[in-house]
Amino acid sequence: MCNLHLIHENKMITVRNLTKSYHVGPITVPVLKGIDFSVEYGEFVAIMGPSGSGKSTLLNVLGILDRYDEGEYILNGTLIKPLSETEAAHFRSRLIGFVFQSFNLLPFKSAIDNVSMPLYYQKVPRRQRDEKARRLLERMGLADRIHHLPTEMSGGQRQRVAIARALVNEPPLILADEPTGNLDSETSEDVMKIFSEINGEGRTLVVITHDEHIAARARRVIRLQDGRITNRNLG
Amino acid sequence: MFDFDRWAEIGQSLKQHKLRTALTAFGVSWGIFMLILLLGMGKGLERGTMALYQDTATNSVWINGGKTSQDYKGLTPGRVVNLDIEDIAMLARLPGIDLIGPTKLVNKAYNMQYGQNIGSFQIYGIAAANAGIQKLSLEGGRQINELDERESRKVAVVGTRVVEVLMKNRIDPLGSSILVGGIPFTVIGVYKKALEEQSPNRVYIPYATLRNVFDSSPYINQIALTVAPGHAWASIRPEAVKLLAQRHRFDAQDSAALEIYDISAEVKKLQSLMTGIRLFMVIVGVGTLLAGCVGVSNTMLVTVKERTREFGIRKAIGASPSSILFMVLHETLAITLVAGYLGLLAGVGVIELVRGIGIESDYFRDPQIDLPIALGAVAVLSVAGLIAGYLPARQAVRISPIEALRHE
Repeated sequence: MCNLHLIHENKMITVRNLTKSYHVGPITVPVLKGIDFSVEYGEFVAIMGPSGSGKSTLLNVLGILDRYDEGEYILNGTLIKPLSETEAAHFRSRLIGFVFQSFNLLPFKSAIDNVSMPLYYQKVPRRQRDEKARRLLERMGLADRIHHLPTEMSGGQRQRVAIARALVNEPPLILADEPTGNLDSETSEDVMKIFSEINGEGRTLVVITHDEHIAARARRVIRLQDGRITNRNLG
Repeated sequence: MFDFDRWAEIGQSLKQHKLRTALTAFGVSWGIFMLILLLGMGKGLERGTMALYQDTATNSVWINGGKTSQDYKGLTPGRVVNLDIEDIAMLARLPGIDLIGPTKLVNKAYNMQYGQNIGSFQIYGIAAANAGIQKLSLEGGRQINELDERESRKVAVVGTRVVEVLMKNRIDPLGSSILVGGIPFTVIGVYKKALEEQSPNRVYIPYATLRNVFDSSPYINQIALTVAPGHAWASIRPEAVKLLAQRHRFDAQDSAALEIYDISAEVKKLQSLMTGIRLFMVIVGVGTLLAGCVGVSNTMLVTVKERTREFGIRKAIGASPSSILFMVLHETLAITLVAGYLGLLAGVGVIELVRGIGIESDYFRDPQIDLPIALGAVAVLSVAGLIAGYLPARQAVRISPIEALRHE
């Protein structure tokens, strides 16, 4: 862990002049062109922007699923420099819960097994895992779906399973990439209610969305266009 | 340590791809099964072939009279060389000869009778020494000994077929009296059931008795001898042939005058044949295992490719690369071990079945598989499977989670 630096910065996320490019053959495509913003502990931030604005890339960098080129990313007081996969896995496991647009549930696992999986990788005993997963699923209103496979559930139910999974290891930060993108407006509303609740518990929430309704629930909206934040005054 | 969760994960994942798991497992099972069959049947072949010589001392030499093919001191070729009992005494004096005795077949079939039962069998006269040369093992009773010979006793060692025909297998033949050409003989031994052409129809009596009772001519059919330890027939042979040539007046260089079977040479030939066959089987076996390994690695490649997205999800929720690597390797190991074990079981089962049914022929009997070899094969396959699974697994682990999640 020699490339971790603890920094006294009392924020969940601090990003300074962050850049990232993709290399397609000999061509370099800049995606993030110098991003600056920070997220306080317990904040609910929405990131909005058109397709190709770089918001998914930004979220992946925030989630340590992807690397950045230049600048600084400080997560929970730790400077995230290029990490080994094992170190990245460690941080993801302890600090971050993901919610994806396409749910990304394992299709051959029941709801409870999907939810408890992050705890499996934290080596929590099975009984505790199952207990915790069950409670979360009940809280998501899925008490009668605990042993169902994802394919036996509606989109809204699946997304609630995914949210339960993101919460199960009690991470301080939840990252969601268009969590309602595949849901109808009514179900979206349910899911966003849950997000508000989670935020109410003090968890930090960063959500990418297209939907102004959803963005309206956030305390703050960061608008991204062409790899830059356009509402800098708010960042 | 037994990690229940790990095994539950593996079970779930393998169940997820039932057909593929089944096909891979079948490939492995089949490979092991064929290998076990091959090795087991090879053993049967070896035992069957060696059994051809089990009734004969492997250091024995058998000499028959032949027909001369060369002029000798004015004698024309084409004369029959008739070995006689004097030859035995003459050759017995040669250094390096251990046991020596005659075999004489009375040239006609005799009626033998026990109670109302009559059968027609052949009578062989042998000396006590022959028991050690021919090594026909007894089911019961004893061999012909020196005393029988000296006293020309009317005793007989009979084959199983004789017992069957005369006694209908109902009475203990030992000690009973049978009539051989009208003359009572006491049965002192019964030969074990051996290969069909060897002994079941024969009645052995002391050579001296045979001469006294049935055929007084000095001629014998065969000289049977064994070479003493530390000597080789090759070095005794010239002297033996010279002596016989002088006595029976033929050219010592005349290879047609005597028919000499050196069993040790035959056995040596057979042993080198067996070595060849064994080598062949090892090559085929290794090839079979290799095919199994290629099958496993092929499947692992496909598996890993197909599960890229799954690995991506697992990584996103906190799985370390090594945990995914071990998961894949564990799965490989589970398939190869279980399937290998099943193949082993099936192979051993078939071999035991063959043994149970008692399929036997001149060149095949009592197949068996060495357990260490069989387990070794399964172990080799598992290790090979691990190596085969390792590279694709490593590759899968290296893909960044972002790419993996995009994978469809």
